[in-house]
Amino acid sequence: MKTILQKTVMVSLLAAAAGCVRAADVQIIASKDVNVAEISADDLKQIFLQTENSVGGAKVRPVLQKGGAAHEAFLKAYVGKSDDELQQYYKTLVFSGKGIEPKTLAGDAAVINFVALSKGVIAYVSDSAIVMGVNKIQVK
Amino acid sequence: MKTHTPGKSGVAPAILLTLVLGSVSANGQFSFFDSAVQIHSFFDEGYIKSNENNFLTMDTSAGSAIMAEGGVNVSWQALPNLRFSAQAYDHYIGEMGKGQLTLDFALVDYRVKDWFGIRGGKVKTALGLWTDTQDQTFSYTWALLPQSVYPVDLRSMSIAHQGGDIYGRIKFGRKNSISYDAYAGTIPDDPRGGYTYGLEQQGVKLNGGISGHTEGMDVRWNPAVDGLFFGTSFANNGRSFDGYLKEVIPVSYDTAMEHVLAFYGEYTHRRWRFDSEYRRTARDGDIAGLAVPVTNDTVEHGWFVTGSYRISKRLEVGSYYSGYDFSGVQKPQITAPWTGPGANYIHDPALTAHFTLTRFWDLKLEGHFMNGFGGPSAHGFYLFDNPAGLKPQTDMIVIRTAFFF
Repeated sequence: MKTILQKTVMVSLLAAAAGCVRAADVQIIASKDVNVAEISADDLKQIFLQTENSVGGAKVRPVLQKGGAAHEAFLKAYVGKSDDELQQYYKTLVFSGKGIEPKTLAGDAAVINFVALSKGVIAYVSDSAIVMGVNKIQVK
Repeated sequence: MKTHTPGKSGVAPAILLTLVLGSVSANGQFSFFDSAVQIHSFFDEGYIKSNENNFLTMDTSAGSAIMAEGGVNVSWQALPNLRFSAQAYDHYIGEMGKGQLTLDFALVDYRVKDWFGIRGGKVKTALGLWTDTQDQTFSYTWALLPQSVYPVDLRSMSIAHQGGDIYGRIKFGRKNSISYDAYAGTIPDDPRGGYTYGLEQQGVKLNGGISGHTEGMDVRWNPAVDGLFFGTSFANNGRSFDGYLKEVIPVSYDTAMEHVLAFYGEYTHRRWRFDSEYRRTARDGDIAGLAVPVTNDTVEHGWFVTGSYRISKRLEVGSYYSGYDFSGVQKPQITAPWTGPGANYIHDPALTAHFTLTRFWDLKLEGHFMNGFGGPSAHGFYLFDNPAGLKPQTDMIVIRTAFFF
């Protein structure tokens, strides 16, 4: 019984650790005018699902990456939908008049460049990307 | 009784519709005043083969492919909190729609805060799980949504209103939120919809259109459990029309009361998805113009439970059970009571295989084993299309494919 309990605790800790690694695989960035230091995981999810469009009082719109490891890691860690499911979700918003598909860019460099030159944008890039000219946000 | 051969005259227009919508099925994005304009489109085509009863005004007992619909959408995000959207919609499903292009919605949306926004124009109605997304066959597992609650032939009765909405999302606690959408407006008339078709079946020829109004509210609770939500909707509707009964007797109809109440929920977990909804529609109508005034009071119950499982990226399987019953009291009784085996209810178990062929194209195969044929009008079964009478059992296969861009 004790062995089973120990194994269960071990597996849970490993799973939690794996989750942390996944979440840390991406950095959340925003335009300089989005003056917030941190965001909750739920608020981040709702912004990308377009059920919210502000953080810390600032209006924001999400920008997605066109596939890639950072995109997959972000969806898995924060949105809880696969890429196909998310695209389908956006289509239901569009065809019911309740939203618009977010802008999609290919690669970290394009995203960082766009965020740096835009106002009111929130996005994600891979953890290894060097981010400059943008506001880096911690997920609570 | 007027006899009618469903569907056959519509073959050429349906093919034309297919070609036209297929040719404009494209998406794109361009900039307008430094903000994004997007164009999207969807199109689906279906085929139904049933054993005896003809369904949805098609000649399904012989097999019918007169089942096409599509839309083209333009959206402009003018400002971060200001958006314009419009959608043209066309459908040709048996005698429904018949290729007439309609404005599905055209609205301006101004989102003041996360908890408060307004929409005005022609707006899709928030009622139950899927009223506003019922055309988007790509977004659900089923070839036909449970017809007890989302009958294809009565789509236009609830799909949109011309008026305004207030909506928003209010957070409370950790990860809990409530979304709301309250609306009021008029219901656009659809002379090629199932409501009018059902009236014609009962011998009523309309003078003009059907005028209607709706006021209602949808509230959805998202608890702190991923993939779970519950909701409830209420709508107060009214309809009126003038016409002739049997082409000689002037008659008019007014809804004294129509209340629609829905409860629903959804749970998704990994590859599983479950949905359920219960809907009650109580309607009291007054018929004037006859020798004596007639009251026509009806109650409809519709409900369903669905479950689906995604086996792989390309294949999802599912099943649902859909139930519908109808009861009515007419004083004095002027039409023959709707009785006999199969009258006043429909029990519809369905099995579905949903193939995701590409990111923009899917295909569904669905079997239905329906017992009963519902009320005296609408919900798919009409005496016009079944002049020899309706049988209690309808076994049916539905094939449907959709493209969305």
